Formats: sequence, C-alpha cells, structure tokens
Amino acid sequence: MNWTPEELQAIVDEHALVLFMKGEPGAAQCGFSNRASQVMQSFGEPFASVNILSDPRAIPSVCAWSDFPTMPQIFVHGELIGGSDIALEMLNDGSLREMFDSGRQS
Amino acid sequence: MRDCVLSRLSLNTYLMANESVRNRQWLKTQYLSGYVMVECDWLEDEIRSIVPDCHVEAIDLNGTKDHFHIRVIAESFAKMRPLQRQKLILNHFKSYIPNPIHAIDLKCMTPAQAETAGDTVFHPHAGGTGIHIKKIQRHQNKEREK
Repeated sequence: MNWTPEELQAIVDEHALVLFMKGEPGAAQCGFSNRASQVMQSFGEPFASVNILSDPRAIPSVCAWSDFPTMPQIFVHGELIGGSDIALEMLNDGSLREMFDSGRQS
Repeated sequence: MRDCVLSRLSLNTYLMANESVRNRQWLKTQYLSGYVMVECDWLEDEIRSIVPDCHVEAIDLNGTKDHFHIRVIAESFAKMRPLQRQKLILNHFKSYIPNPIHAIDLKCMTPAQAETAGDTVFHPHAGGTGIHIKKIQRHQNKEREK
C-alpha cells in the first residue's frame, strides 16, 4: 500500500462503506474516529475500515486525495460524506440510509 | 490570513483572566519555545471573513488553544450540503491542521437547524474516546468575576 490516489480510489470503489480512521473500530485512537466507527456499527451494514495511523504517509495522502483536511473520513459508494459529525447527523435523519440504498440499486 | 501567533502580553492576559485554565505551565512552555497558538477571536474573525452573514462562536475546549468547538450559523448554508459547509471552513484552516489546531468539533447550521440543535459539544478526548458534553460558556470565568 503506497496511498496513491489510484489505490485509495480502488478501496472506495470496492467497498460500499469505507471509514478512514485513527486506529481500528473498537480500538479508536481519537474520539472523532471512535464516534465515526460507532455510527458505522449502528448503521448495521458491513463497512471497510482503514487505519491511517498504520503509515505516516497515510494522512497527508488521503487528505490531499479527498480534498478534506481532517480525520476520520467516511465514503458511501465512493463519495465522501464528511467526518463523524456529518455521519451522525446523516444516520439520525435517515439520509445515510437513503444514500446507501439508492447507490446500491444503481 | 492574519497572523495568529499569540503574543506574550496576550498569553499573560489570558492566563490572568482564566484562572481555572489547566496546563498553565504547558502553555507557557509552548509559548517560550516559539510555538504558534490559536485564539478563539482569531478563528471567529477568519470565519466571518469567509461566511460574512454568519453568527460564529469558538470555544477552547481544554484551555490549551489546540482543541476547539466551533459553531457557525448562517442562512447562506441553506443552499449547501453538510460537506460543502465543512469544507469551506476546514480548508480555510488547512495549513493550521494538525498543528497548531489539533481538533475541531465543527457544527455548521442554518438558523432553523440551530433552533432545534441543542447545545451539546463533542469533546474528542474526554472520557478516553470522546463524549458529548453540555456546551461550556466561553467567558464563564469572566462572568463569574462580575
């Protein structure tokens, strides 16, 4: 893994839900990442998580590729929705479900 | 962007006005080593410069000038999706992330959303892995002195 835009794009193309986070779900290294993984777990669909603390190149590479400067980052069907606060908001108002289901049909 | 380096005078004024600030010695050490620190007023001014119609409030969560809660309320957000709102603000501060700005709990709302949003703040480190806390008053120490 070299964190190239091509590699990162391949991850979000392959998985319907991807969480780039500090640490692992259940062992998050930051409160925001912990909240994001909790949102993903309560959403109930399988998701892929990428630990961006596993390599010092990861954070700058992901942030430059996605044009978003903070972690965690959540992708639904290849599209960045934002960090943990937007994910929580979208879980609560149903728009995460709507976005996930509509992308699955197409 | 205007310079956000904290001056010696403002550090001392800040510490005097906020007696309850934790990590006072840490703050002084950071200052003396030439570390750049961020003021809530500076954050608010910068945000007003990019979202002119906004009501903005920044809170220093630990008194260490690196973890912030920022609440931005603007009618102009109505035509933007949540990600667009956050990108506008966060990308403006990109060169200050992760240092000296380590964490931002950012809420971007329309006035209508703000009315029903409640006043909790997410603290990313409190409780080990983050908790929602009741919104803290930015000038609580000053108010108490009055």
